[in-house]
Amino acid sequence: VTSRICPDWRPLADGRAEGEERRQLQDHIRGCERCRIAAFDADPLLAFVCSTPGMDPGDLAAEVAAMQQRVAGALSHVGERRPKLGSRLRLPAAAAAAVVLVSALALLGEAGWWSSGRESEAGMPAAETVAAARPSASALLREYLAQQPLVEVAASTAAVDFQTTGAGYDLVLLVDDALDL
Amino acid sequence: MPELAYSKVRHAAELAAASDRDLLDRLAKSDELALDELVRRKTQALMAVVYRVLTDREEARDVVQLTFVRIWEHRARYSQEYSPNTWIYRIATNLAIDHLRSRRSRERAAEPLRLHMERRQDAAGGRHLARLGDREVQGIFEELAAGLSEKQRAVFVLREIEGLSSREVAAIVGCRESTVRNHLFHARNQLRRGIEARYPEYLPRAAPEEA
Repeated sequence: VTSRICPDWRPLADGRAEGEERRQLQDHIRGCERCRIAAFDADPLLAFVCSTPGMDPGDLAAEVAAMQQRVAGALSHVGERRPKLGSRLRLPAAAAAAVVLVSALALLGEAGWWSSGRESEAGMPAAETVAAARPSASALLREYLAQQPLVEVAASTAAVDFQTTGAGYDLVLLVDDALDL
Repeated sequence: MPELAYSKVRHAAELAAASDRDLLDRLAKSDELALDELVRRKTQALMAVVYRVLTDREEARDVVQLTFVRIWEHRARYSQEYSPNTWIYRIATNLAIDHLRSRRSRERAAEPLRLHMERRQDAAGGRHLARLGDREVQGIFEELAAGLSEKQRAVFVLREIEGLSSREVAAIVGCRESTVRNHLFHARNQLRRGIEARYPEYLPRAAPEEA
């Protein structure tokens, strides 16, 4: 057996309740059948005041995601330059890693960092060739580039990417503890 | 060493912790991620208000979508004199009112007779208003609110259901507080008369006289 002390809901009926008190009374009436009956008997309009719009909490995330897509799509359609952020943000971080690594290597290639080299299994140029052709690269970068990049897909959303542009190159660093690079 | 340009994930995390006003400030500088954060933060509240005004979920989605598009298009016009919520609700409410007017000019909202009879049957079976589901209550509201003007309806939703102050509602709807009180008075009367006329079974029964 549970017992509780119900709040006085009359300030809601006569319009005296404001702000947080009002929201608390609305919540209480939604959850307490005894008060609901008494309150709706006193003022049937409270049924409208205390009803909820009927959106399941579980639907909220999907509703928000769909709305982000719709807004981005609408802005693209009306000529705003805003890209479809919703879909971009939902790209798995590791997939994004694959994209940026391949893009970075492609840019390095265009910049003439290598002229030949063996092709890796993934079809990418040999990274050690890249490092050797770029003696001015920092030791850390050369060491990293000397390894065959491993691109894997994981459901990580913790990736942080840093992008910078210099003379003749674009550099993208992707830091993600979940990736086994 | 060139400066690192940005980190989207870190930036999104910063935005999640920012106040609504900060978000609008960043939006004014065309920060696209700020719009995504605003959509994430405000969709539920806007859907609730707009849905109550329009009583159609798909139409409400269209209006909320348009609200965010307008916010982006008018991002440079946000004035600090308004609270962020007032500014955002004002855009959404005006769009909802416009949509309602346009819908009414196309067709008068009419409750299908079958549903109406079902509801009356439910009530005749002794169901108390307090035991109706939210959808049923919303259906009754939809039917009765069809007789309100667009502004009366918006004022009732914002003031009575969303619980905003008269001053906030006045700023959102764009009228004086006295006009808000006037709209509210007439809306309440009209809705009450509607219940008496169409759903008398949901009115409290008079206590039986003692012998």
